Amino acid sequence: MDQVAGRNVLRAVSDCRSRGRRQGGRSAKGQRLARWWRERGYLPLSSLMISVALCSLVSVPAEAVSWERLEAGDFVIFYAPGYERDARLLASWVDDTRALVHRFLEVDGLTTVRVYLHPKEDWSRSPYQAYAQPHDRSVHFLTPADSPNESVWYRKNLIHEYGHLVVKHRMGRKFWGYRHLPDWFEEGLVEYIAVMASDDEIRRNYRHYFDEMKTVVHRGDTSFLFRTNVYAWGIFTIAFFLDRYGHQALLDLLGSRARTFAQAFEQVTGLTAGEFSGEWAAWLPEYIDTLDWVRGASRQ
Amino acid sequence: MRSKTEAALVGLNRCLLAVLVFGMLVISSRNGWAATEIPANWVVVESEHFRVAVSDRHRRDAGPILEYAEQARDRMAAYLGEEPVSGVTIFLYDRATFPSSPSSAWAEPRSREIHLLAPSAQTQEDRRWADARWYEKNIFHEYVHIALEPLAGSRFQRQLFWLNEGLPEYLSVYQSTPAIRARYRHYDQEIRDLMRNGETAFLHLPWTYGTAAIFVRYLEEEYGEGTALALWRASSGLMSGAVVSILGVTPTELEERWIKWLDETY
Repeated sequence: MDQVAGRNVLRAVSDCRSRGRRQGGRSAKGQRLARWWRERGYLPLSSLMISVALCSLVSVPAEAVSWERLEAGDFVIFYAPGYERDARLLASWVDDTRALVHRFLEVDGLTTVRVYLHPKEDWSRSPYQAYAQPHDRSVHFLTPADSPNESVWYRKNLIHEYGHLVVKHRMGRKFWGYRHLPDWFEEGLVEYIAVMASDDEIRRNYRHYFDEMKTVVHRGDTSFLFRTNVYAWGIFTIAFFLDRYGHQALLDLLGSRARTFAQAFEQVTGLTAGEFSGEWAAWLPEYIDTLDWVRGASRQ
Repeated sequence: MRSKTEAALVGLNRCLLAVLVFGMLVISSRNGWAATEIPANWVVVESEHFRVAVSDRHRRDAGPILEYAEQARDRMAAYLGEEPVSGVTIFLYDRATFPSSPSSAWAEPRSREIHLLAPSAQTQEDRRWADARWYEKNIFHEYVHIALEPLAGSRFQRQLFWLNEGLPEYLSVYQSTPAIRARYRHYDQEIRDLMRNGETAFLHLPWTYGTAAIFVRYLEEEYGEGTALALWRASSGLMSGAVVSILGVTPTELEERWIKWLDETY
């Protein structure tokens, strides 16, 4: 008797599951929402929820450091005990950084960005690297006191890494949903803001980009097949884009609803990637010849 | 006082001695073992052209690794049409002494060294991808770096990822064994994804090991075996000029043909 009852319960559970599967397990309203979601090519909601859960796990900073925090405008700077001076140095730049990047990309919002200054024992990367994590809006550096880099390197890279966060914030679901950005655009745009659109001191310290591109022109190796330093090439590709199509076109590109970056790029420029490359190669020599590097992008 | 003739002879003798010493140094740097410090508790196992330095507990890994290395050298000799360098030392680390992540293998071409984690030091989980094929392929890949080092036409070739990494990856994946080629078939999917997104033009193309290997494959299949090597050896280092003189097309034409080849091949 107990066994029969048990089997009935199991069958009832099984029937419920079957019905759930047949009907999608959702109400009519739920099904409409799911269809609406699918038709727009978005990731399945379940994937999204799993990704968010994973990201929240990844974003937890290393427990090895007991972080102290310094709030500066929209930034919260996390630093290890004994490194408050480093935190104050970074804090002194955040307002200018925010103003520059937001003005260039015409973005409001994006509050509370976290900057982590890792002590040497908590940093496994090269001291010449910094990185941004858009999913938790954080930027990471080796703390200045433990680093061979000068303060101008930090100032430039705070703009660069914060720029990544703002670009991705501006692109919103396009970035997270389906659009992959090519290296020249992803790195070139934020390096352009950090170097070409910033100030004389930074440009003086990054003159090697200019010298490198002068050499490229001198050698006649202006095909993107011969691209070496993605930052130097990226800056000058963005410079051409702005010179030829204007700042609004850049914003249109970021805001485009095209399925891929390549499609958005063709829609905005009216050129294939190959045609664009040819025009860039024709434009570059004169631009290099007339550009006053330290004074900045005076032609923009 | 020595006569002028005697002094001249002494001077000549010293010059000859200096030339002899210099020559011996050059020869020893080309054919001898790299002067690498091997930890005291490690063992060294040698084959005809290679030696493996490995901690004692992983010494059984030396045999297969030396076999992969000798096969790599044979394949490289066939590709180059000449004897490639010998005297390469392969360091197989245990987990405690490995200075990098378990995923990486790397070469130091000037001192003719290859460094990687010993196969038996991999965790069970990592062995799922760092399997025998992974080691066979990467020993070949790193050896190609060492063999190509003295042949580079200029420093510019080394700065081009698609050439500097693409040629070793092409040889180790597409000119090795069917098993390795099958193991790395995800490179084909990678290029198909880029084609679907319209990202195969040189402007947008991300250079990864996969895309670089496929681009070198294109050069070798469409312009003849040894084309990528000829670009690597171009002494001027002026790459546009080298493409025109070796391939007979401009970089712009090369890009158009590459995209067409991808459409036909993938």
